[in-house]
Amino acid sequence: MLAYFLINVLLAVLWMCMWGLFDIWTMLAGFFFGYLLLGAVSRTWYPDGKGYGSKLFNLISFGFYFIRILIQANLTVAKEVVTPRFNMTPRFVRYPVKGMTPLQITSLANAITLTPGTLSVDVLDNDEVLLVHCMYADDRESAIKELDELRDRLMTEVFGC
Amino acid sequence: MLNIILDILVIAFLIFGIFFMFVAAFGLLRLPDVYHRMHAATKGVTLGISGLMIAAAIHHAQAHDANVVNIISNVVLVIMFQFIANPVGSHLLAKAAKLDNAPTWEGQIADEEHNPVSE
Repeated sequence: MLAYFLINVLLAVLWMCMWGLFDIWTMLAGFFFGYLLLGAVSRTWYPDGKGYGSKLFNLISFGFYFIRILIQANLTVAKEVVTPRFNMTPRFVRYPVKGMTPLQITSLANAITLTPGTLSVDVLDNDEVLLVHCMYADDRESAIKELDELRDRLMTEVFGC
Repeated sequence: MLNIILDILVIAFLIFGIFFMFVAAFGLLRLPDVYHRMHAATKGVTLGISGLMIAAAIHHAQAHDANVVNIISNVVLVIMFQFIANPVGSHLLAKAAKLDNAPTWEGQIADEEHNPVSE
């Protein structure tokens, strides 16, 4: 989905070059017409009939989800820093990422670093396992479940084509 | 009226950004080991700089600056590269600490680097 979004941005730039006007309204118009074009073209590429037109909203919803968990992550860190005693239960967790491409693993590692209580530390075993430092991992299963939700949303909403 | 609302918005974003930058700096001093400090530094700085940059963009848009498009596109680029560069930097620092066997906090429960847990 990210690839189509970048094509859409490219179309907007092309539109601006053709008009010779580099302002915000020309860019928005170019983005809109590129969106219509890509939506119409990509509709026939998927069996469910939902092309770029409806899948762009998945990307936007992932953006809002990401901002929400980024703010949540900061609030947990801020709470830990400002309150007097430490309540962390840190743990290094192996998280399997077998079968993902390098781009997807990099995106997932970056996203993990910016989500609540987790920090990606290393890639082990020939790019098959991420070593993740979890701040609140008293219960290993629930920590893994949070990572699973992030991975599923990333795979379907950003890379799902 | 609109000016007052935008001013309040600018101040709110500035306070938001400065608070999280402060948390990042204070966390570096206060948290017990290098991994926890990376948590504070990465997350706090990413959100803090985003807040400050949005405040700057709103302020310049409100003042009808001549090159407001330049400023907003610079703001978008700064936020985008923050989101890419900060996690990568912290990943490398944490990896270096791990290779160096940096001391960890005594409250740590488990380290699965060399002993995987069977699922």
